[in-house]
Amino acid sequence: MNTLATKNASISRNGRCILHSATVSLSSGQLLSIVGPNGSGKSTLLRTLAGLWQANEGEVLLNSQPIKTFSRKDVAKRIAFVPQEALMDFSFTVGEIVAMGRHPHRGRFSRETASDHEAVENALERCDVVQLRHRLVTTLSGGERQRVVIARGLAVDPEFILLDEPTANLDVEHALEVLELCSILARDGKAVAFATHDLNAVARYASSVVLVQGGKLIDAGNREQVLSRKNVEDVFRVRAELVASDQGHPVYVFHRRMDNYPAQ
Amino acid sequence: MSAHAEIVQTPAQAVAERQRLRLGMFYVVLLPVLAVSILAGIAIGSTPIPWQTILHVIGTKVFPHWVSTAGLSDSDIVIVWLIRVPRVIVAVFVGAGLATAGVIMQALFRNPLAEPGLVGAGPGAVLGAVIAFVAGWTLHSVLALPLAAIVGALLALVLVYAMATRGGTTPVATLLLAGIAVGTLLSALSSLLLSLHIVDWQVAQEIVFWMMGGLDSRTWTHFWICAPFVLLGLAAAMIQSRDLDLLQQGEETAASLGLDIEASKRLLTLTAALLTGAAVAVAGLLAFVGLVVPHAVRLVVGPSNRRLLPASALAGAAFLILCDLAARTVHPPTEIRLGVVTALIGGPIFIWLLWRRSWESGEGSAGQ
Amino acid sequence: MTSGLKSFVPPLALAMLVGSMAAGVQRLASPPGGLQLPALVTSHPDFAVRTGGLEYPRESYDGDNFLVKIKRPPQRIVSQFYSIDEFLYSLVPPQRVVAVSASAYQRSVSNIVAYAEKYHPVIASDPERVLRLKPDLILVSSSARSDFTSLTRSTGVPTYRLYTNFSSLKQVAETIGLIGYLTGTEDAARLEEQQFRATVEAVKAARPAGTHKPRILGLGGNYSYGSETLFNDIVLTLGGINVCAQGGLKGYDEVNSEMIVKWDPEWIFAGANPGETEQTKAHLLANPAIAHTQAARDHHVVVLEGPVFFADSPYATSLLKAMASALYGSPAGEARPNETKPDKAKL
Repeated sequence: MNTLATKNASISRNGRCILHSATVSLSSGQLLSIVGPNGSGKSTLLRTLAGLWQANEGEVLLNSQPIKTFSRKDVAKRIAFVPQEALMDFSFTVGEIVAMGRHPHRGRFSRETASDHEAVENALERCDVVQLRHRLVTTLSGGERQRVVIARGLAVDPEFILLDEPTANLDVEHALEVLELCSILARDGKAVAFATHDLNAVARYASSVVLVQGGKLIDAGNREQVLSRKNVEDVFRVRAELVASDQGHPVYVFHRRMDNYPAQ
Repeated sequence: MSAHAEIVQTPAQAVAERQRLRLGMFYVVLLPVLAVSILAGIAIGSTPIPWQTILHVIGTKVFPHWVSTAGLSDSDIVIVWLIRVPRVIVAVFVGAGLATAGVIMQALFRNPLAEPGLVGAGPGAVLGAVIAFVAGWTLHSVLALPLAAIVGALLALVLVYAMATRGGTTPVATLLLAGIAVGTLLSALSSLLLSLHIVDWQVAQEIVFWMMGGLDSRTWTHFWICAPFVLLGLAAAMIQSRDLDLLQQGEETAASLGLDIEASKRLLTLTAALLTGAAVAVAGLLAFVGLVVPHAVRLVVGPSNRRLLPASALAGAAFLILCDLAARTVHPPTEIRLGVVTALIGGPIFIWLLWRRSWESGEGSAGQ
Repeated sequence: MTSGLKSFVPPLALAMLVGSMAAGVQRLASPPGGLQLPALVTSHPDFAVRTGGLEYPRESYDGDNFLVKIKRPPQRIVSQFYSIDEFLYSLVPPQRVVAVSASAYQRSVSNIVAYAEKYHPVIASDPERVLRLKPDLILVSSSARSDFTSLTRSTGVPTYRLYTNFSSLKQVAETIGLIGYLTGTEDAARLEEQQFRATVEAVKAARPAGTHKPRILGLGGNYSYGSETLFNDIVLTLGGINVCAQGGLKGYDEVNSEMIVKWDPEWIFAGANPGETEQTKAHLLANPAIAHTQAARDHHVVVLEGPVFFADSPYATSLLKAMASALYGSPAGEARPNETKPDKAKL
């Protein structure tokens, strides 16, 4: 059982506190969703968990050890981070991009080993991009790119996969594909966390939810408890109604609030 | 037959096949071009020498125990071995160095149109050289100008880096802006020194000529000055080729895959500054070489830096020898300055690449 | 800021690497005579003539402090500077001069066009062309690039850097002797030097005694001659005052109209292309600042032809004499019988 946790972690940038004393934990088999409006600090929390940003106060624990005690490469081997905006200005092939996921496992001068090859094949297959292997990434659609970037994360063969807004730029079909993939990964024993503001995606897939607003943790726990109507209405400043879909999934319907917002 | 084979292949396989083929073809074409341009660079000069004599001289120098100097005049030996060969060899290293620096910069700034002088190294090297001219150092030691140029390039880099660094991180966007600002400032200082010394018309003429780049009067000393830096820089770049690939995917991705991006950026800009400084030191300012060559080579061999670096270095070498050949032969007996030639040849190629790029973007296939 | 400072460490380490590289180059690939790094500190050496005995091989330290050895009297001499061209044709049999500077052929500055056109020395500035001439002595100026000298030296051709930024007639005279020593024409040089010195002395002697010291300005375009120039020494030899030097100008530098008005010279000497002296004079007088000077009012603006005015060689006596005759009306300095030296009749 692998765990990744922040303990009272705070992050300041340019003298402004953008994450305030956050305590969150993620463990194998879990599909955690970090939810909040734009600029609420969910990406910050995700980067802190990934060890990309150092907490100014508090700490990040990887398997109960402070993450600072691990080398950069050891962290990279355990935690894959999938950024929101994939930079694809250079025409690498999909195969090359996914193989980059093996970087933390490879020595500077070592060639690709059998296990590297296997991990890449596996990742290509899991993300259903095998047939794209030789395509140039500059020629891919947004959905295909997202899958390729996730495949690169999987090629790391990590214990934790952290995705920042994985569905933000995708159409409905591809968004569902990606979320489906996340839940399969969690079912297979990986610890998966993704940041999003798409509440319906969360409602459908995530097992546990962290709700953030203005850099502060509002609530954390299981989905039904955290995404209560009151929480959602407070955090997103809308009027929400929760209905059930034909197949019994909870679905949020939002309405603009007509009253004046209470001063924060 | 072949048409049939193409139909059977899937498009993806065809792309992979084409890329492998392209890399092979690239070397099949480039290596002979490089060899021929080296030989042509040695064979063609301001006074005619038969090619047998040239091969004979090279033979006596490369295999001193096997080939005798009988039948060669002293001046032939001197002209071939002390004037023409060093000039071509220096062109090889300068071209390779600039192209390598261009590859590094383009990966670092994630922009296929970045060029080696971006972090202030080019203008810094120029200022160092201009100071060496103005102070009269160049009159007395061959080493003065190259040393001043390399030191200038490094100091400019330090200045740019110090300006762009806040709290231990150096965002490349800030680095780029600081590089442009410092570069412009240093260029202005060079111009200031030049205008203050325009009175000394010979010094001013030397500076202006040098700023236009050139490989005249290059000796083995110049080779020893630039070759170690270029070899060191190329080796450092090759060692970091996978890091460059990662940085091209964005700093966050690179960091999440275990790269120490700040250390990596420091080392890479330093490598590029050294390469640029060493090139400027022995050849003056040569526009477009570090910009056009890596960009054009990338279109053929793809963006993977492990393949791109050696390919660009060789292509840069061939490009510069051919430009130098043009500079020497277009308008005899006067030599056209090499920087003018590289700009006249590189400029249109660059415009064509830009046009091609925007056309591709118009097709909705290329990013940025 | 500590991290900012840390980023200084690798470049500093590299600066040290560069230094050791320089040392390595000095050991491994040093051109003959070394890289002359100490010369960087004392960059502008003063004029000095350091020669040895008259037997061969002759040895002399040149302007780079480099000991040049000449095994036998040079027969194929290459000059790289316009004043050196003029020195050579004053001393050496003209066939021995195989290459000259481009200026040798330019009527606007050269005193030796007639020699050049008769003997057709090559204009060679690129090393390959120079070496193709199989030279046995290459004479370069104070301003020649070390790239060139180190290359020719590495080929074993004696390459001598002459000090050519003359600031006195005495230096010109000594250089006549030096070039005579280097080219094996010491007898011709002794004669030429004696005549040169005699002309100078004659001009000095012919100076009217006790008169007012004329205030003189020399103009070459917008530039003028301050202290530490040959023109300045000529003005002093003539018993005049160089207004530029008095005004604080050092070397050859730009002057503007305001300075000319302020200094108010009594005499203005300027150079022009041969045949264009009248136009140049009119052009000068059209400048209100010059028109306002005492010199203009007294009709003391004298325009001389370029070869006379710009001579930095034994021909500097022509300027001395031309100025003397303008100032004092006396055709002073009859001590130089071969004054019409570049005359075609003599060739």
